[in-house]
Amino acid sequence: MESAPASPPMHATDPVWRIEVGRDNTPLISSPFLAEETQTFCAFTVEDQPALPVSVRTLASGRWRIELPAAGPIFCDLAVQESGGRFSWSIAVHGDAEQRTSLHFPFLRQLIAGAGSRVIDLFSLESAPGIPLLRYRDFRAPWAVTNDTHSLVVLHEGSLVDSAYSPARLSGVPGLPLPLGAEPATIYQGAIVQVEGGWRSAFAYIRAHLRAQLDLSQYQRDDLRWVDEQLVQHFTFLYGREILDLERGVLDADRFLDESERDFGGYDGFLIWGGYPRIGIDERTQWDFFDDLPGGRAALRSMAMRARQRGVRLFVPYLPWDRSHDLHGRPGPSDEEELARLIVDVDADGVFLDTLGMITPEFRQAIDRRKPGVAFCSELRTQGKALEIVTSCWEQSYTRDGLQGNWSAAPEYMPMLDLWRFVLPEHRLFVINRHAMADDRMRIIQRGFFNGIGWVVWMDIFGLTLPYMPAEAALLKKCRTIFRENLKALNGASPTPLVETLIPGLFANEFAGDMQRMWTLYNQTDQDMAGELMPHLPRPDCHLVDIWHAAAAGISPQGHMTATVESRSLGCVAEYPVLIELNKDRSAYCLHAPLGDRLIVRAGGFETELTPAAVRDWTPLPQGTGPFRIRLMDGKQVLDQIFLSGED
Amino acid sequence: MEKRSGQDREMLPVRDEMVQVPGGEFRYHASHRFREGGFILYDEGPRAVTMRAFWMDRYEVTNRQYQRFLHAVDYRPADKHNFLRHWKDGFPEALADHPVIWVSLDDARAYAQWAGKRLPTDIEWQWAAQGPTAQDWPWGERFEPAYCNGNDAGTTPVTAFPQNVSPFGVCDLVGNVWEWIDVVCSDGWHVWCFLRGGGYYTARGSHWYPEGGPQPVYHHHKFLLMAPSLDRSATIGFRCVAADGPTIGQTAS
Repeated sequence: MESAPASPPMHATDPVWRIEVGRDNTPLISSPFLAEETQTFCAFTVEDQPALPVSVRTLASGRWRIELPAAGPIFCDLAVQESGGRFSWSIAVHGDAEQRTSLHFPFLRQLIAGAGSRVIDLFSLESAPGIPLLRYRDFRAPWAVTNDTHSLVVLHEGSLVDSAYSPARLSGVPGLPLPLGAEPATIYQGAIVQVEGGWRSAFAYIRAHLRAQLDLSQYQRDDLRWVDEQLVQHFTFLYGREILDLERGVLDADRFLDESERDFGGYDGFLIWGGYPRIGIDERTQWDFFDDLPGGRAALRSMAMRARQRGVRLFVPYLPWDRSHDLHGRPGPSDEEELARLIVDVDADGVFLDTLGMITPEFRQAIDRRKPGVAFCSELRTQGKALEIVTSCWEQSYTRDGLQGNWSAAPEYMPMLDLWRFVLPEHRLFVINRHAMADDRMRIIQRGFFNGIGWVVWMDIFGLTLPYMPAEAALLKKCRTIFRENLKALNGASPTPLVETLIPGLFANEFAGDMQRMWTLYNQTDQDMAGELMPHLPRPDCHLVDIWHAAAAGISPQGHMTATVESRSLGCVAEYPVLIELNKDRSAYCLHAPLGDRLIVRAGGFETELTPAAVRDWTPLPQGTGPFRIRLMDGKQVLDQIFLSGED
Repeated sequence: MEKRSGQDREMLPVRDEMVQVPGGEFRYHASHRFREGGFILYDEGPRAVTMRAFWMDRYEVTNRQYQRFLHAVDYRPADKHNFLRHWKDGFPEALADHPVIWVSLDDARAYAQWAGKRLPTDIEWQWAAQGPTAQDWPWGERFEPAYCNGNDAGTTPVTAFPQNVSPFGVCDLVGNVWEWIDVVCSDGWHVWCFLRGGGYYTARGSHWYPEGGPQPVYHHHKFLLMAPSLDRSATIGFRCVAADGPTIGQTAS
């Protein structure tokens, strides 16, 4: 079994890179990790003028200047260094003209990790033409070349949080816009590190490398643990019938929650939204609106209490753009004070930050002082230092058209992968494309499951209604149920994206907890897949379950996981430690389990629950017609499950 | 049709005056500002409309008039939150001839019913405001900031802007306060009505705010109704219409 190392893995200690000045002063690089000697380490071009002649001058040992005489006063200084098996470079671009420039790294494409190596390209273009498989925004994405025994991790170094540009696809070319009159600056740093072990080890290294740049103490707060169980949140537009009783003009949370359970199997949280589109019709602020909603703040407090009794958390919105009172010269109390007062008055569980991606530590502390355990969630993708304070956010559609804006339903693609989910699994994400319908909405639900993240259910977009079809609601309910029952694996600290599969077009992510592991699968092809799906290194005394189909999964004689994934569909396999023991006593099966609070036996469409008292001793399997599905539960968590045909 | 000069109008008692809006043909086309959520989907027309003559309050209903209604009738809304929020033991004297605000659609309907009138429809309001020449503003084609209340500071007396008069002599239609329109719609999911004319206030700093200030005569605002407590507003008032002249109801006490 290949396990993720807790500490950064060993590096190769022998020098592996040889850098010489080649023909025309061009740096020449050779290494056992390169398929061939590389004459050009880095090519520097002005965009749309790729054919410009380049001159390279040696400045000093390991330092070069690359010039494009025809492009005007713009040049690039390159420095490379090799030590302890780590090969690193930095590049500064100098120029006083506004140019879009590109840096090419042809040698990166020649990296090999040895026999059988494959590239884990974090911006693979293979899944759909023109559509990146992975979404990995706003910091410099690492990638890896890997085989079973060792990996080369390419790190784009420098500050994670101060990254000033969005990296282009790694398999391609970072485009670097140079501002007019820019000071010479180091704008690009990278390194190649050898890591022992295959892709899981390589990714563990990447994860550790990125996490080391962040203060993650907010994620360790006990008072915020409840957020770990938030899977489906509802955007509750208060002017619509989902919660508003149109006849009586009152907000009816009980009916709302009843219907959510009927249609979706329930929500974990809901965001009450009463501001837009009304706010601004007069001088009232967002804070005044909470006084004026039916029943005022007291009614909302009662709503929050009733929801919590049903296991549902209430979020209040904060509209950072509501500044009209200030702009009219009528400043009120600070937003921190007002928000804290609202949270206390309503006894809210969380705050939705709308279009605000970042809050100051002081803002966070102002709320903490008034009520512990308040979660913050932003509509915008939390980036950089904001990750240290805002511990959850929406995962809105990558393909959403910024120009078309909010009224455009962007097409959705599967699979798409959100790498931050795997770097920082503590940061809760909720996928939403508010205008997606039909197949696009199904792909949104699939994307949430494949990535192991949560969802936002939003059916009333400020008056435009896009209700869920029964099939959509059923798929979401199934996904949420699987996650709820397997949270220990889902929220494990060492998930790995894109583990190896045996079939082209089959994608798999691994979620590894201490006791359990889970794989989410997606079959991108038009053919159903059944049988051997992926290499599998089983943990001792564990067994596999195809939890998507509620059936046993297996391991083939070749050591491969066997299960089923239908065309263009999700799949899911879980690995449980063997806890349910079975004995056949004469003609009847007897059960035993050392842990858990109940056993649920399903047979012939009926479920029977056995209490711990019954199953700590050997207990006969309840009468029924097989096949049997037997699940050992601890609260909402499945600890183990087995299947019996009932015929033997 | 009655028309007076601005100077004459200032001399008039405000309270009961109605003007007759004649019948006629016009091209009804209400437009809207588009925002997320389909505000407003009710982009009505253009279509030819044949109007019958009706009577319309020359001005918005004032605080003084609304108090007279309350003295005459024991009107108590079930949800009193924000009802006449700007009053304290009656209206402030300085606001006597300002349009009444902080009234819900039902509060406005109750007044109209007592007065033997009703609230206008979207079409009636626009016809009364634009007249047969279909001009963009009651007084003509160009917006004139000095002709109406877009002051951001609060309501003004309904007679404060003599130029704010439509071809049919209806006054203070744009700016000052939005006016309730009794066209209530539902898609089965929401209930909404329309507001007309724009008010004195423009929220600043975000394009997510509703359109503020005086609005042209062809503009209406889709207003999702929730509950009187939230629906009552400092920028929303009303005026009434009736099939017949102003003798009905107005003298009841």
